[in-house]
Amino acid sequence: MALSQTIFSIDIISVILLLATLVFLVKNREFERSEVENSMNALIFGIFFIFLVMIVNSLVYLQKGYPNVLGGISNIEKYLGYLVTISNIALIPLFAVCFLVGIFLARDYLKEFPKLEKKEDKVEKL
Amino acid sequence: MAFDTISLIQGYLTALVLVISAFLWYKVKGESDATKIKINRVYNVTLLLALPFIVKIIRFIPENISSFLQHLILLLISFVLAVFSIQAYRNNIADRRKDLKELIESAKGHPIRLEFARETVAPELKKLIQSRADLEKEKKFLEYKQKKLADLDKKLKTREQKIEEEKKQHSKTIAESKTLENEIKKRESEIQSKDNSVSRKLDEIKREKQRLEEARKKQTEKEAEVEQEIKQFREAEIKRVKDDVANYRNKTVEKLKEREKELDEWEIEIEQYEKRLKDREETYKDLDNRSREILRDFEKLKRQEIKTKADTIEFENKKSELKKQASSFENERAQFESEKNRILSLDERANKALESVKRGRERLKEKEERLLLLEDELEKKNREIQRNLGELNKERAELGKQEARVTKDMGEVALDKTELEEMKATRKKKNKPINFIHKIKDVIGRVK
Repeated sequence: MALSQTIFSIDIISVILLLATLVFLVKNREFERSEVENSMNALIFGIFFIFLVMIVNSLVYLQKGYPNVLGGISNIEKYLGYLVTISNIALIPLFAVCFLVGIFLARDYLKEFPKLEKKEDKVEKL
Repeated sequence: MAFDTISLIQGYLTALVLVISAFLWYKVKGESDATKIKINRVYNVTLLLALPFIVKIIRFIPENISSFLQHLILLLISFVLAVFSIQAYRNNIADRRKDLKELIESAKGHPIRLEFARETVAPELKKLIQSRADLEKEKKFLEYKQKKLADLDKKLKTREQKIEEEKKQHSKTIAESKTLENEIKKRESEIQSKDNSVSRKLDEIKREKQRLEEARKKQTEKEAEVEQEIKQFREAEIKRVKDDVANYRNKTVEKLKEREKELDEWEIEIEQYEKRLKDREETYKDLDNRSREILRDFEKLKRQEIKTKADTIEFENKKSELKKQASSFENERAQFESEKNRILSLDERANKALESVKRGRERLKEKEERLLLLEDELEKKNREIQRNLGELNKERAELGKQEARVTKDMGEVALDKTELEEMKATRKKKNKPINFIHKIKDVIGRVK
């Protein structure tokens, strides 16, 4: 019970922090170039999915830690089980895929900007 | 079960994809200049999100610890993400301000500056000035409205005070009206009670009226019923009388018909008698013939009578013989009776003798019993005698033993005698008889 309560509190804090991250990432998007925007969008989607996963987890641990809060809803454990399965099967893989896509897009953008040290090394080699 | 396996596979896939993306990111970061993306540190940290999923995959960690670790790592990563994103935003804003300032400062000596100011900044400034003027107007309007509202507030306060005073008066009037209402209610209740009593009385009167009306109705109904009954009774009586008359008529008609029938029957019977008389006349004719036949039969009977007379004579003869035989039989019978009496007397004697024999037998039995008792006593005595004999034999055996002892003692005595004689012989010589006498006395005591 105590462990689930602590985990619930951790989840709540992490949900708030993720929300803040999302907000500031959206604000940061304005300062980036348009080529990076796609990559950033994919990243924001990924963080949004993990935000949803964290909400689901916090609900699960709320039910475990404080069963009286959601006890009024009939068949709540059944619905929470459904949510957990959805998050495990769909949301977490989508989050991973979004990150992968975001990094691929960032790589495409960053290919145009190779490191200066390497250029200098090449010049030295020549 | 299927969902569990799919979720497990998805967890593995997620961890794998995140690890691949991390490798890819660090490779890209190594090859190219990642600082071109302003939030590259956010990218670095987001790829650390693979860690909780890797912890989730590892099965040898206990479930509680692994879940706690996952959530803790997620918290840390989200904290770092938030910090980096906020920091990046601040940096970006600072850079933007710096750029803007640089833009303004660098444009001071530029020839296009005035044109830029005229074309782009001046209309914006005008708009701003207009908006400022509008705002000031709105401010003034708002101040005016505020003043008005303050005045209205004052008026409202005064009105409120008046209203409160009125309320107080009104409350007083309400209290008075309540008391009046209570009095009115009491009076109303009294009036209602009176009304109720009056209405009850009216109801009772109405009920009595209804009862009287009902009684009248019942009386009229009863009268009508009685009249109807009388009518019905009259009609019934008339009907009954008519029926009786009709029945009497019918009965008389039927009786007449029956008498007619009887007369007809009588006529028929008379005719039948006439027929019978005719038949009898005819039968009488037949009877003459029959009388002749009867006479013939009578002659036959006479002959038979003669025969029977002869038979009766024979019968009487036989009867006299039988009487004789009967007298002889009676004689024999008397003899038999005398013999019978004699035999009976003999029987009585025999019975008496038998009785005496029985008595004798009983006496003999008693004597036998006595004898048996005596025999038993004798046997007992014999047994006692035998016992005594056994005891005597024992005593004899003891006596034998004692005799044997005595003989032994006698032998000893004889030996002692010889010794004594020898002693006598010696004493005689020595003159000491006293010891000898003592020895004899001892021997006698032993024998006893």
